[in-house]
Amino acid sequence: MPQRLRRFLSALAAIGCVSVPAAHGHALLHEVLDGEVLIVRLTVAGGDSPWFEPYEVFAPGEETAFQSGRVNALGEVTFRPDRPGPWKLRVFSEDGHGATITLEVDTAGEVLAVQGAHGDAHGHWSRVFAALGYILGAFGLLMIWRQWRARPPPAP
Amino acid sequence: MARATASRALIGMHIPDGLISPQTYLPALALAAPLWVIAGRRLRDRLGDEMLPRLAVFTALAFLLSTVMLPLPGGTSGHAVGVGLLALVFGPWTAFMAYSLVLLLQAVVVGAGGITALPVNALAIGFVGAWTAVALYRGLGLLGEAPAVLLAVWGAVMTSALILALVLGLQPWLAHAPDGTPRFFPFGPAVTLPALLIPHALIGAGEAALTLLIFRHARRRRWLAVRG
Repeated sequence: MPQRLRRFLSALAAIGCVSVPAAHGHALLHEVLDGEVLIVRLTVAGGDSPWFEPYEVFAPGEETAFQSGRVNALGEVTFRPDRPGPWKLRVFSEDGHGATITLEVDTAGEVLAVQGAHGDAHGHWSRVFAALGYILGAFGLLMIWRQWRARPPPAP
Repeated sequence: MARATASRALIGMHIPDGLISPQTYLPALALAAPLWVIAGRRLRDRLGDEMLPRLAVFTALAFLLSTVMLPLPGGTSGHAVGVGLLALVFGPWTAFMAYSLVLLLQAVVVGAGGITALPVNALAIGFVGAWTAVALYRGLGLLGEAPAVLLAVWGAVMTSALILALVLGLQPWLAHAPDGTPRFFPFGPAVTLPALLIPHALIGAGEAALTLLIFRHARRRRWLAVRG
């Protein structure tokens, strides 16, 4: 190959290497898809949601997160499983509070079973009444203790 | 949108775990612990066989008030506090101790509020709320019993809400990643102040009216430990 041609091709290759990334390297292409997704709504007792708390979704058998982000303004996490099996959703706060929910997904992407955390807030009122019982019981124990302390000493 | 979301997140008054930083709750614990000791000793000295069952019932009532969610305009809901009633009937130190028990059970049994947030909630609602109620009740005594009770309870709710709004609003400044991303609660005071104060202005009014009814009953029964 003549020296002049070699130089021309080298220069062309160099220009190509530099100019192509410069033109498209930062372009983010997108397309909008139709598809089925899983929506998990998260609530804590009392009706609040863990808004904007971080979460991670793990595909079956994977230790690297399939998806991560923050719970949205509706208190929901949305993701699209691409395989059947037990998918794990871990929601946690900066100081480590949180829960892990396992969703058993079938081949059609439907959820067959959910494990972990509490399914809903049906137990809220039972816990409220339990706490009322604790309050009254604690004061009752305090009263018994005071009366026990105040009893007269046994006669000699 | 941020304001609406923050409003939904904050409407319950007491702060849940995960929203406030250790830079906030550790100093709050250091401040609350000696106050709990003082309040415990004062309660031990005052507690009598007549007062004890009444305090149990009023503490249970405050707990119930802080558990029942009330619908509010805007599609949100909130709950009353109940510390003003405790403070006006039993005094601020007893109210602080009793309301700390309410907050502890809210966190441990019901899952509302939180353990790490307990000192902050106890100081803002139990301590400042109780002392504000008593101070306003005494200061406004010349207006008559009903206005004094109503304004005292409303003022206590609003003062607690103001403190919690400021505590939450300072979190993005107190704890953030090197790139500035908030590690805990993400909204500043411009969002937290209206999100907490506006709904609690309504909640406080309802709570003040309910407190007045119970307060009058307590006065007729000569249960009051606080003089107006």
